[in-house]
Amino acid sequence: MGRQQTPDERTADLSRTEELLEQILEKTGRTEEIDKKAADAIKPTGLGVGAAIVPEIDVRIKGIDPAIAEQLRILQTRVAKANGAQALRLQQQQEATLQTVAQQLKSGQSPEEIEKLVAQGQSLLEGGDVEGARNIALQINPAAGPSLDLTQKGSTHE
Amino acid sequence: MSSPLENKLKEIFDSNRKAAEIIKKHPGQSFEQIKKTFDLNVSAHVIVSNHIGLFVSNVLNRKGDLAILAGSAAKRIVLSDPRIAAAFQKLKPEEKAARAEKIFDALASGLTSYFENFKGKELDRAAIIEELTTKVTKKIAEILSKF
Repeated sequence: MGRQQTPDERTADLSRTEELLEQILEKTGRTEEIDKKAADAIKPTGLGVGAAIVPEIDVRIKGIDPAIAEQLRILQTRVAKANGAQALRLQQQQEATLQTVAQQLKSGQSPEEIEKLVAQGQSLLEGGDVEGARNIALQINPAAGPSLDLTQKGSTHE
Repeated sequence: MSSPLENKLKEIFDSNRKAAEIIKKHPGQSFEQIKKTFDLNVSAHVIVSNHIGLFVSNVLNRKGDLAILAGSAAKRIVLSDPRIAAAFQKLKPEEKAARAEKIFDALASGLTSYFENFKGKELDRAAIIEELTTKVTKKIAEILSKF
């Protein structure tokens, strides 16, 4: 009976990779090194194209035993799926920072000026001067006004 | 407990501090250029994570000698990291080989020493993979920037 595996959310399940690669080398009798095969088999393409991430599978498994090829295809599909999810998560994490980069570049303020203001704002916030910190935040990004409206501080809507 | 406004302000300051650091690291670059680097880094992180995942599983399941497994993982990473491929594009084969070897040496010894000095750490497979992936991804960027 096959062992049920719990997929790890943060990484692709590659537990069968080594075994499959060894079988491929054994069956084909090719002299290519296993590390090159692994690099090719695991390498996803098409990642990082904005929000529309379409992980493609780099299948270079022609001319090998069909049963092994099928297992490798299943593995690659799983890898591609996990890669897509992971890439999307990373991009989502960075989205806010990227938007801020765009806004800072547009505003024309130098990064040094921004850092100075941020330090000032953080210090005010730590000292409990929320209104002072809010004013600094508005100097950094005037467009943040509506989301920093004191009258809406209980609201969870953007 | 912080109020929603305080949390929002903290978020704005953190995000702006990070953004300012990024802009300082890419002087004179447009948003599109910076975004391209970001996308390449995401892709590299995912690929490195796969190889590191496999390496960590093999080490924890004792499927071979640590130095050999580390060498194998380092080689696979060098062969598939898109940042390395992009940086090496215009190099002569002998330059590529020399630089690839430098990266390989740094990664292989880093991966080996990580587990050699592992004592006292909690054995959380996912956390180890995440930590090693971040270390390796940063290390490669650092080496590439020095070439």
